[in-house]
Amino acid sequence: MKHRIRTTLALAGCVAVLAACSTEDPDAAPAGGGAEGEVRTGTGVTADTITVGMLTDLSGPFAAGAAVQVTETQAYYDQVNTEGGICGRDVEVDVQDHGYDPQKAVALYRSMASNVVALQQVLGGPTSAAVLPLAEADGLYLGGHGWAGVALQYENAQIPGTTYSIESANAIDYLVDELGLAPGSKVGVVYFVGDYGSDSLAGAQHAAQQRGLEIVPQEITPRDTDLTAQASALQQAGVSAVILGAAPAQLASLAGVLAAQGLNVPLFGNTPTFGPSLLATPAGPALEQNFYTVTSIAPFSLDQPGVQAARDLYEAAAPDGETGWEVPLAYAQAELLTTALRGACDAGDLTPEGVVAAMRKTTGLDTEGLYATPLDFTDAAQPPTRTVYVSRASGQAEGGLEVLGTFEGPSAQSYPVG
Amino acid sequence: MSYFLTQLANGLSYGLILGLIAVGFVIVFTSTGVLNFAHGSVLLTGAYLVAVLQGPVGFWAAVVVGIAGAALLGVLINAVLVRNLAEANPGTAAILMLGVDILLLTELTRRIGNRVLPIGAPWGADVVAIGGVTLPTSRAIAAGLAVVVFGLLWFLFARTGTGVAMRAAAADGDTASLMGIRLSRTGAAGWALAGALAAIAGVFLASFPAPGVGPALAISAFAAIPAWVLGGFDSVVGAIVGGLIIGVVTALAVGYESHLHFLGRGLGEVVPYAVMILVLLVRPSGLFGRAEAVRV
Amino acid sequence: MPVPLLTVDDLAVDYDGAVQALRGVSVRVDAGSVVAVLGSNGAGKTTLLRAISRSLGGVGGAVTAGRIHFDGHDLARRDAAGAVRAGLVQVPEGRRIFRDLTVAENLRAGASTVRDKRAREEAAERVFELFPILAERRHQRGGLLSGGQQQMLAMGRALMTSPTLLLLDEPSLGLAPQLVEQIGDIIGQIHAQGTSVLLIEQNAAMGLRVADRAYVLEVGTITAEGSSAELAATDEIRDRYLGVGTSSTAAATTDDAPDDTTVHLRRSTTARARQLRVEDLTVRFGGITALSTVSFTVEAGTIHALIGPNGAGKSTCINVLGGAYRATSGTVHYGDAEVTAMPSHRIADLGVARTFQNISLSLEATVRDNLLVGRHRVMRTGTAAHALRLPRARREERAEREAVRRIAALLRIEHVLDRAVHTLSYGDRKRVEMGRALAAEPTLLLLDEPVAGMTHGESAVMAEAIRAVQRELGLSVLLVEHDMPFVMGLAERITVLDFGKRIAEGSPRDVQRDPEVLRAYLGTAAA
Repeated sequence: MKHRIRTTLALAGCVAVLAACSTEDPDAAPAGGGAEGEVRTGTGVTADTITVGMLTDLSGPFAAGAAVQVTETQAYYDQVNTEGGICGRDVEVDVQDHGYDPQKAVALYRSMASNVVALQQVLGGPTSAAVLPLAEADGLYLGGHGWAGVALQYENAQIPGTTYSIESANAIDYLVDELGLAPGSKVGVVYFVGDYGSDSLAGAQHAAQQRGLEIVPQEITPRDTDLTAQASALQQAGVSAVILGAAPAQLASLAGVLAAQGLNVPLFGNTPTFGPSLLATPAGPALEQNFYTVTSIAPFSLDQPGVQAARDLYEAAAPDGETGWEVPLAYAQAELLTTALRGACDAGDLTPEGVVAAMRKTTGLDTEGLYATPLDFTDAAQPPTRTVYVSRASGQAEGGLEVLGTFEGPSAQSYPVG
Repeated sequence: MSYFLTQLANGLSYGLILGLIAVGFVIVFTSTGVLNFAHGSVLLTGAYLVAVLQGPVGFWAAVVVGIAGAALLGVLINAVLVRNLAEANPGTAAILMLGVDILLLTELTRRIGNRVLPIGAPWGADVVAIGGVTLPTSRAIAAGLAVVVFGLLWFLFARTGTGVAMRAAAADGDTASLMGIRLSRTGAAGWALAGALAAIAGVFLASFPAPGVGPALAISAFAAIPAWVLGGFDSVVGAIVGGLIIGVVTALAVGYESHLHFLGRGLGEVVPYAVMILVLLVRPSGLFGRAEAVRV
Repeated sequence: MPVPLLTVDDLAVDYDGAVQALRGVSVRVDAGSVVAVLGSNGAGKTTLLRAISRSLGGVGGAVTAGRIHFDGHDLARRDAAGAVRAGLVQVPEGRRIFRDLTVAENLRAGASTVRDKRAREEAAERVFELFPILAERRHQRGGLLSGGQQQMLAMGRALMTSPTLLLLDEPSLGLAPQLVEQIGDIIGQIHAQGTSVLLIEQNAAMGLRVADRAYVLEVGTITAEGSSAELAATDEIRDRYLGVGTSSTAAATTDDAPDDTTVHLRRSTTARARQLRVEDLTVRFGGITALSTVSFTVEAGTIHALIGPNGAGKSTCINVLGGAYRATSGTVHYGDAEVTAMPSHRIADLGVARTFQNISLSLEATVRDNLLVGRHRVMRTGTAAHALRLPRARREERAEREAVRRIAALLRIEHVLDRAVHTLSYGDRKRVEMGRALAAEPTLLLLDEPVAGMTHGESAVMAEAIRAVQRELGLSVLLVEHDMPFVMGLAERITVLDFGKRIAEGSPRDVQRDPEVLRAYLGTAAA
């Protein structure tokens, strides 16, 4: 362990030296034709461009959703550039494909780190887990890495909403307060082991303890696509609701089997659990009847100006593209980074460290409905919000989700993150 | 009790589907000596064809095309890659198959992305219930069909010239060719048969209770590997029995996980391999594998 | 003027592009005749058959010159399956039936090229007529048949295509005399039904009896040809291949016998042979009782033979003594040690070495290396000393190489010491295996069919070698063998098994006269 820390520090040192070499004396260099004049710059920023990186999955299991996010992000910055750019500079997006392979992600990160001022996105749990410590050592902004609670220990990570644990705690609160779940009831949690599912389970367990419920955990892996045995076990245990920290394939199977067994109980999913294509599978009717999702990012169909802007941009860029929660998410993530970049510019420090510092000064940020509440990033150890949108599956709504409202329960408020 | 029977019925039907896949592993192994690690992606190819075509041409026609396509893919892999290896070490062929698997899987993943393609089967999400035991209709049909397919396989191997020739070639290729049996043909027949069986299994693995065709389907084919190994590498009957054992044990391990907590969570993942290892400790050549000839 | 059915002109065959197995071989089979090819092991007989049946490729051989015409076709353009379709079928050496297939399925596999169902049924009827026992056992697995029945099945399987020419590779190999005679009669019947036969035989008496014409193949070339009667009358054939007119021991005085049988083998240890006592030995496999309360004693330093018909339990007995099989009940003592429950390596440590009926050698390694492996048990210096090439290790290595050379000289395999085993013929491999067993300096040597597949002259060499090692090393020998002249000339004492039971024991003279033995085993062929 000690050895690894030393290596990381040494690497960080190297990168710092390289960065210093590759930039001209920041104080002596006039900032090009920029109106601000006195802005310090570092890696990824020249007189007329700002380069941000996207380390995403264009060839692995999340390729389709990742492509939606790339399209939306590009469209967002194209619009920013036509409106005059940031700090008098155009924003360029450097997109690289890690194929959901952590090794490749680390290698790509190393080649990218000296060319970008911030990472707009590192998609995927294991891939972002591999890159986060390196980016922290380099002091580089890293966004778009999902909602796992472990990211809260990193000063440089901008979590795009609340954590999976708080989503699940909200789900329990919603079950008790809005759907009238009786004390002593059992709630199943079907989850992937790892940063995502285990975080979701932890939130549900906290809330269940607060609200006097009992959790029945069922551990699965992404290769389980037939959840018959799990469904039977949940029915046998007598659960009154189920929370899923999994992927769409598992949701469809579980919803279908539970309904077929006559167990029509509410199913709550974390953000990545749902995909609109599920409504075309045999499980579609069961989902429409029983499925709820708790997300800090607004679903595609929400009628709010921020979400409307995201939709318009996407429909112009990809008229036949897949629709889903990825669209508002990508828009919101771009907005978060843009806010940090503008903040850094105003503070006269458009270096990577300057961007992180500006992000940490962001408070009371209104996203016009992309998130349910204003966001506060000043405390790295706390999520920027604890409020979620609660939505139901619906074949009528675009993106397959119809929003019921916003919600923040007592267990979600009391959940001790970190 | 009905809970136990439900889990058992699920395990048996799942086991029969695993048997279809494991038999494919066996047939390719005995007819060409190859450990076919590309079997999973052949299965996915078949299921993918069905999912893509069922919209335009209807489910049943799509199934026919999917089965034919997977069979043809097997024949092509054999013709282009396996036969050119001739007498290379079996390890080389196995590694080559891993490479083929990665290639096919990458392409299919690119096409499918993270969508879930519905298989469009007419039985949808129906369930049959017999006296407290519930079973998805698709699984009941799969079980029935698997039994029929195994019956046809028995007929093929025991009653037809092609089948007997395939068994003869598997037992002793050199002598079989002295009898006028063309090993290139028995090999192609083996790959075609394995591909067709994989496609059938794929359709059911993608049917309810699973949501549809996704890249994970190729990996679920590997769940049949413990069944193949514990049945004995070269035994069709062993593969079927192995499939049933693995299916039932997996279903019961998951179904009773809450009672088996002292063993830790995620038992369903581990149990097939644990059973395989136990069987191999007692019978190193598997349940039905060819031990050394006893008669002297 | 007879019509030639098969003509082989000036044929040459190489293995792996290096070893020349055949050169300038010309053979002709006329329609409606039976032709035999005789020759020692390694002469190239099997190679000739494989060249004709187009199956050399699988064993690394290639025709480099010459032509083969069959029924007007040039076979060069056909593969093995094509040759079968043209009407010639080979019955491979060692029978090679499909053990897991039933008798009926074996026949069905033989008929793979016959599309017409009626033709298949008729062929099966003919086969069952020829071999009624196969009809009786048609639903049994081939592996459960006795050796003789397996040979019948292999021939029947080949006859399913109704070939015009049948190629038979050593049909009498490993069969008791009575069965050899029966197989000979069957070849006559097949011929009578209009199928021509090209037959390869180490048993020249049998080959000459059934054939019209014969060729003698030696070291890859034809050295004699003529009608069977002519050849049987020549002295050379009589001496080398028939053993006619010579008692079995006197055979050692022919050209093939060692000139000097004293090869100065020395033991590097003081180990002495001990008494081997087998008491009430019973072995069961599932429902089959392979051995039933068998008892016999091999006195220290003697040669003892175990004989009996195929399936009598002889190999089972050897396998128990060597530790490969476990006894169901009964005991085996070697000296004071009870070996019944020992693993095979412990038994080897007691000084017991064995050869196998189905040879088990490292095929890619040279003969020398195979023999050196056998020395492993007696080498004193450790692996480390060898790796460091210490003087002591170098001295020992020289001594080892000399010991190996002597063994090779004794068994007459000195000239092949540096060849890879897979290039050797069956008979030479048998000798290498024997050499490897001897290299371990055993005090008890277990030999499973040491002269199967050898000509009379070759088995005489083997008999003399066994006698020499017994004399010079003072070891005991227990051997299983079908070749009666060999056994009678060599063994001091004989135990006869039938259906897993001991039916007689005594000196060769006693056993030959025992009516029970004559009935059960020797039959008329023993006369």
